[in-house]
Amino acid sequence: MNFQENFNNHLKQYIFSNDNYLLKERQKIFNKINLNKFDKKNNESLKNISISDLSSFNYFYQPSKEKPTLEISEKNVYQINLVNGKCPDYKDENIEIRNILIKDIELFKSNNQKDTNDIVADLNLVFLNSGILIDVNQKSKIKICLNYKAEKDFTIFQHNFFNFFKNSEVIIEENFYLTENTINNIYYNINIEENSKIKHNIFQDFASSNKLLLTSNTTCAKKSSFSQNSYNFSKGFVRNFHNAKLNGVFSKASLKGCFLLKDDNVCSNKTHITHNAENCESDQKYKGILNNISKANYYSNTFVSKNAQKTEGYQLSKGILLSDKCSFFSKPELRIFADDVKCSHGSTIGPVDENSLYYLRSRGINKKQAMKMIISSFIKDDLIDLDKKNIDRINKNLTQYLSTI
Amino acid sequence: MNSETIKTLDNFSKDKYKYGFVTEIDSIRSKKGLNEETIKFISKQKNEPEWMLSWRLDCYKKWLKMPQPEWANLKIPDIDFQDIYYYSAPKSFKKKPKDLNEVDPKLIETYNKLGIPLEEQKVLAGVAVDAVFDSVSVATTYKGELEKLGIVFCSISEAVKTHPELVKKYLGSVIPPGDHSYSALNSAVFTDGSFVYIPENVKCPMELSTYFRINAEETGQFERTLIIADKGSYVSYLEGCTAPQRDSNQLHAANVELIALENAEIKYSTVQNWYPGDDEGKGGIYNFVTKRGLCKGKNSKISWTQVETGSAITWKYPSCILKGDNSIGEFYSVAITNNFQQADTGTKMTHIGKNTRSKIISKGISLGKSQNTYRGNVSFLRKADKARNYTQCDSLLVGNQCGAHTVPYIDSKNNSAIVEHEASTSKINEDQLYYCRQRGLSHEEAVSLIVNGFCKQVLQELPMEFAVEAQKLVAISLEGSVG
Amino acid sequence: MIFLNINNLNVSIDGKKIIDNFNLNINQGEIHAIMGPNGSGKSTLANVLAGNEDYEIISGKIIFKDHNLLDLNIEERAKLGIFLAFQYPVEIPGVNITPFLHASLNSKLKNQKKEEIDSLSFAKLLRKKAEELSISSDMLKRSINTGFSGGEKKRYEILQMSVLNPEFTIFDETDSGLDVDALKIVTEGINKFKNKNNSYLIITHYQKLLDYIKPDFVHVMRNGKIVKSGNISLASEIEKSGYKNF
Ligand SMILES: Nc1ncnc2c1ncn2[C@@H]1O[C@H](COP(=O)(O)OP(=O)(O)O)[C@@H](O)[C@H]1O
Ligand SMILES: [Mg+2]
Repeated sequence: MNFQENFNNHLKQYIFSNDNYLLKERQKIFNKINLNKFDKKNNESLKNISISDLSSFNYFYQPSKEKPTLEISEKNVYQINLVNGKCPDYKDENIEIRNILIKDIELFKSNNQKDTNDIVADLNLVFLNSGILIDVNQKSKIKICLNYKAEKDFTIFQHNFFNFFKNSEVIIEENFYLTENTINNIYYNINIEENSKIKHNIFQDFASSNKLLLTSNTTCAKKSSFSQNSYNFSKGFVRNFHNAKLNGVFSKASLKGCFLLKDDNVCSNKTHITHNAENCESDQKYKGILNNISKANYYSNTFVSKNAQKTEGYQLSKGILLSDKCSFFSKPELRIFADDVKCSHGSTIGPVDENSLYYLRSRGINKKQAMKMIISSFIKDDLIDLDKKNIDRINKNLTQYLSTI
Repeated sequence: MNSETIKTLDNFSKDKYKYGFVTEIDSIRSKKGLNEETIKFISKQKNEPEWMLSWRLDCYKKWLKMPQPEWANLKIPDIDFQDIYYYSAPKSFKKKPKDLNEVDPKLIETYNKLGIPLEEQKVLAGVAVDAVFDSVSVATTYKGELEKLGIVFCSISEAVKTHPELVKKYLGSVIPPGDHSYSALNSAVFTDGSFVYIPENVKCPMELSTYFRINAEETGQFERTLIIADKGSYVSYLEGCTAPQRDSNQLHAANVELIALENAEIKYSTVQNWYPGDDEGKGGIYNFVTKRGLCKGKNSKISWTQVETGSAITWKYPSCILKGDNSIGEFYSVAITNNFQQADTGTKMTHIGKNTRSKIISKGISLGKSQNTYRGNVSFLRKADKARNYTQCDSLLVGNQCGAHTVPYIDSKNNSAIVEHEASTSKINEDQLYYCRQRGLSHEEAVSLIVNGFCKQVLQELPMEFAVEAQKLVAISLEGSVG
Repeated sequence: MIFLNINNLNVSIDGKKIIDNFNLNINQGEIHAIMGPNGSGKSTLANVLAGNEDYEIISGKIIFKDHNLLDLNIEERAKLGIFLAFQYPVEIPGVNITPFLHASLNSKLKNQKKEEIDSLSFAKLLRKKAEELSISSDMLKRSINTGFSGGEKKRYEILQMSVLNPEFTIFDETDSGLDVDALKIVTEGINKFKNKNNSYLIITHYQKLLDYIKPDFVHVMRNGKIVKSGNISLASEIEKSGYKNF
């Protein structure tokens, strides 16, 4: 189905469909995309994916028989099992979880989510059909596992709001159990209050017929920290577009990711950190390995506004190309308007390092084995404080990937 | 950055623009505005053959259909292309003077004032100069000596007539007129510039240099330069530029094409010091330049070095197409912006051939309320086996009114190619300042010394004859004055 | 003439007091040594004397050659004859020592209303001094301190001192990071440069350095003040039983 049909046929089904303001916004976006009224050439959201890939699909969303559940597996560990974008409603002294309701409309009106050039974020609003809201109370120390399940053929356009109130410490882990032929366009607003420390681990390992498109916008208040890691071992299309704003002094944000691609896998990555306050630190780092005819891109951007003195910002992008038909594009950008800063970026793309290969082989390890060792250390270098279950999972994926080289 | 540093650096820029004078001279101009008549007028003034005119007219038609390029991080005021004179030449140039005796003494005086003597007995040793004044070439020194080696060094207008086969073959071969709107514009209305041909296996024994001077008001300068280095040859070429100090903006839209055949090497250096405008951002040159070199043959090499200190707006990406196997492209750049200047400059290295290598060293310094952007594109195409690129771009910021931006595009489609890119942005290191001052240097001296050191990797690539001048231009005479 | 007198000096950084009611008098021609554990404020004292602007002078007075030192900025103090041999000399990429030191020397000569030295004579002078310190002419071609080993950096500091000819030199842990041979070369250079008109303030952890350069006075510094003064025997006492007794 094309974009127009999707839009017209299901206009009544989307969330907030009878709100005039949102209807107008949706119409605006629809016109922009439908009439091609935007700069396609420099559009980062369209790198390695075409506009028709994004806008032509069979829109399918209906109530599901399966109910979302929540269990507290250990103390302060919340397992939340979403089904097609719906969560169970729950509340205790640490946390409140619920689906977005009509009354939340103001969140959408006040939230200026739109990077005017991001078509994926645009589509999220147009076809919005679900969303969850999580509030973590002050001083709570918890772990939240969000297990997303998408049933066959579902097209999920979800907008989530996470609020971490003052002094909270949270590990948030996301797992995607996608069945077959699903589209998952998920947009996050993450709000981190003073002194809170948030870790966000995203595991992406699903079958090739699925698409996962993530966009997150995080704001960090004074002395807070946000550390995000995405692990992409998927066979389907994955987009990781993550933005963070350091709005309070002495806050920190780190956006990192890794990916293993083969066959005709495609993944599109972007991180953008804006420094709006003094004495903040940021780190952006994506690494990937590409084989066969896979393709990847990584945009990174450190933006330092005029008053963000004493900024430290680092960026790194690394790609290893294993075949003569894969390709990697990287654009590490620095935009700096304050003078008392230390910012840098590095980027390397190339084959497995010859020197390391030589070294290992001189120790009697055969070439293939040496390659595998180098690749796995390339990925493992950055696995920091993950629990055993997740490390095993990454190892399993890595082993699987290496066995195909 | 403490206020003292800012003051010190401000003083550098307020050193009055030395080249801001105007030469009073009667000139012939085209009618204002751009249309076919203007182009025919230019072509007629230059007595061009028919083929040249029709090439120009084709390019003009292309230009009409093209939008202005938009990729740069610049605020460019709308340019009214109908409010510009496209040709201006001293009246006395109705016929090109045969030798210097026929040249208006005012012109010779102008170049003397700029430090570029043209008279036989005074010419710069070891440097052959082509002097371009508004739309025409005034004189070319050392012509005879170069001719003995078979080297052609003349104005492009002259080459159209004397070497039509070379011009036809190569003009527009590296920068297709339809590349973007400024290349089309330049191709339609180009006035003068240099033509260089170095025959097989000849190493050009002296620096070739062109000095561009904009004098007339409301006049655009459309420079066109074509340099061809035949197999096994070598040439080092340098251009310098200045313009009078005026409140209005003026356009300089140049196209420079370099072609290096097998085993040939071209070294191209620029010291760009167009009038930058005053400290309130009034006036100054819009410097929209397309420079591209083609390493056509195996083992060829093209090296760009630029010191960009002038112009209100600089838009410039000297690039290399590395087509021949084992060919090498280099780009060394210092860009300093102050007051309201804007620069968006960098390079594009396109690796096509096997084993091609490129190196990019870029140093940006932003002061005042200026914006300074490095934009670079490194791409490895499928066949570029074992290609390599190394890029290093560093920016210094002075004061928090300015911006420093780094925008690299890196694209690899070859798994044996290696790209390494490093960039950093910071302010002048306070510990270095302290160290220098503890040894008795004033704050000002310390800053100039450190900035000079920061640019060293680039400045040392300039031909000896110009390194000192460039260092002064960076307002840091200390290092060159000793040793 | 008062050569150097530090009177009731109080210094803090980021609100933390580092130099606490500090007093010291040094006469022309004397060698003083300050010893003290890490963090006692020795480098801070050196930097305050040199005029580093990062520190906040809360109160106190420093007279040097009858000048009120605290009224002068970094380079004015340097021109007056204060030289700080840094604990960690900073790297300055792209800047060569020859023009650097030439400009330094000339600014000092100019300040003394003396004739400036031309580049040729200066190059000769520099080469001569470098030879005395076993600094190769190759090293003179490199950028200041850039990629130097610890020992090379320290030798470079001594070279600069001997060219600039200051009346008062502060050596901030000049011995640290030096092997025995390098220590010998450096201390020989320091001793050779010593005459009756110039004075030294030697900051060190260890007695070792003081075996090579004989101080007239030894002071022990703790928590920003001098807790004991004496002669060379104080150094051996520290060597034996550390700072805990002070
Ligand atoms: N720039 C600075 N910022 C903050 N604290 C400093 C700074 N410099 C020195 N200090 C502090 O001052 C104290 C004295 O340091 P220092 O003078 O370097 O001691 P020493 O040289 O005797 O080892 C230490 O506690 C040190 O941490
Ligand atoms: Mg110390």
